[in-house]
Amino acid sequence: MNFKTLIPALLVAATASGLGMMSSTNMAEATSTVTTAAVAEIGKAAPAFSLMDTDGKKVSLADFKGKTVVLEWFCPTCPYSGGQGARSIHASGKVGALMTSMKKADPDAVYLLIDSSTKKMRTTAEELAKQDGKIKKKLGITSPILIDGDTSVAKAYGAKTTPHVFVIDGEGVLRYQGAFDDQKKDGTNYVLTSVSAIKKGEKVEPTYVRQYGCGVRTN
Amino acid sequence: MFPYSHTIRILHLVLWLGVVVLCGGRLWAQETTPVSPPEDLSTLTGNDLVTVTLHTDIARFQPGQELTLAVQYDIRPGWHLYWRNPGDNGMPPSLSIKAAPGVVVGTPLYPRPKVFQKKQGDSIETSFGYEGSVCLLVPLSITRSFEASRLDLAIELEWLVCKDICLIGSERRDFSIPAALPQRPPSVDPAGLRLIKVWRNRLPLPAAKARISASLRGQSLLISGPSGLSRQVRFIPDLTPGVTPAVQVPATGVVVGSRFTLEVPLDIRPEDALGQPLRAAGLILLGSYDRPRAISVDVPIPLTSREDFGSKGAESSSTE
Repeated sequence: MNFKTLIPALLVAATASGLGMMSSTNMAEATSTVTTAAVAEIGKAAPAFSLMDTDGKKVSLADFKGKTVVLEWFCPTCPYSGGQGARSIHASGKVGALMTSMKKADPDAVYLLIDSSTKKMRTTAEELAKQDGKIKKKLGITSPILIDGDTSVAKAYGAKTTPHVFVIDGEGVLRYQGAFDDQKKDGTNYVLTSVSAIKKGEKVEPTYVRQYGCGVRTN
Repeated sequence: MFPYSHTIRILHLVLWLGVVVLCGGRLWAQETTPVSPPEDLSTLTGNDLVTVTLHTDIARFQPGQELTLAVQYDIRPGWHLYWRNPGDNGMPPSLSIKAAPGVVVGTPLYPRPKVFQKKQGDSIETSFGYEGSVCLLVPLSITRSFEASRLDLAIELEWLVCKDICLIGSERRDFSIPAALPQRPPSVDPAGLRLIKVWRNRLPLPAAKARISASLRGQSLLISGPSGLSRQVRFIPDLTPGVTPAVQVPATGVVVGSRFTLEVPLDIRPEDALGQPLRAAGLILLGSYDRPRAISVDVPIPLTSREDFGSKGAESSSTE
């Protein structure tokens, strides 16, 4: 009676049939419900971070204490973000126009782009930095693009789309998060309304508008 | 009769044969499945991934008639389009329909969506949309005074189609329906009618028709009603500025006997309402994940300032 060889056979058979079952299961629809992780919240301190930009320069949120900081989640290929076409907030000139208006509303406001698409694009932080450097030149982007290689900053902020924007006041408190604009011609740019309200010492309204665009992949 | 050890040997042999058949079968299947070279995604557009066709339920119209335009999207396997509330990311398809005066174009009706979930770090990314094929139904009303011999529609379509990446597709289409011949009744388009009937059956039922009641108690949406044979009850939210579920969606309900109850805690922020009336709305999905019954609920929130949500909270309901 050789049970020592019988047991592995049983295990291999079970594994093989298990693999077969798994591959035929529709994994697109998970059934479990998981509590949302704690992320950046309106009215609370924005998560601190330090990231390298495309030129290899270290940029930290703490560097801009006293200034309003805008974070825009960016992806070089997303048609709403750094991609081509009329819907791209960069290629269409929307961000360029915002920069001009923002300078008038608050000359000290800082605009940073964060790219967390290493996992989505199956690339390394170095390769992504190279690619973003080229896109930056091509689209005439003047703001630093920070590379969130391990996507930890995206996780901390709960960034869901590109573009997903976050506006942080000089005290480091998150005042607005969500959509860049209402996507209407001559419509509302929520970054500009937030930066202007903060500069004037007014209440920021709205504090959240559902973000649109391509998904940010963090794993 | 075989001795005991002999029986074990035979059992052993049968098991190993099973393993060989199982694994070998899978390997063979993999080897013989045609493997296409990886597609160069940089050359694709959303138009390569989605085919749009237009249909109506009538072939010839009469003034005073109501008809339905069906916009059918056939989506390449593995890719998806989005519901009117896309969820954590995405964009719903946009439709702009221009018609001559005398034709009233209604709001597109969205069939029940699928729920897509992906683990993202410690949280779950949830979006709502369609795979395979979907039809948006647009009601059109023709006034009695409409005298043109043709009903011409200029339709601009745009959609975001996603898999690992997202691409935009767009098209401009002209669609024309001739008027019925004099003294002749309007004629039906049988194929269009059949298609529209199929997709009409996938539209969410109004809560009243499904005998479902929904009400607001404090900062929660409470929904209850008959569950039929379903053991699964889920709630997915509509886009309601200023009102968002304070829990991971889909929120799940409890079935006791033949009835369900479901409570959705809400985050109500009048300052984020974008000037729209506050409301808690969404779909109840009853039954299987692939083909649930969908029922729409929509509860107005009458208060306009957050301070009004005191310890007692607000109360409002949609009737059964």
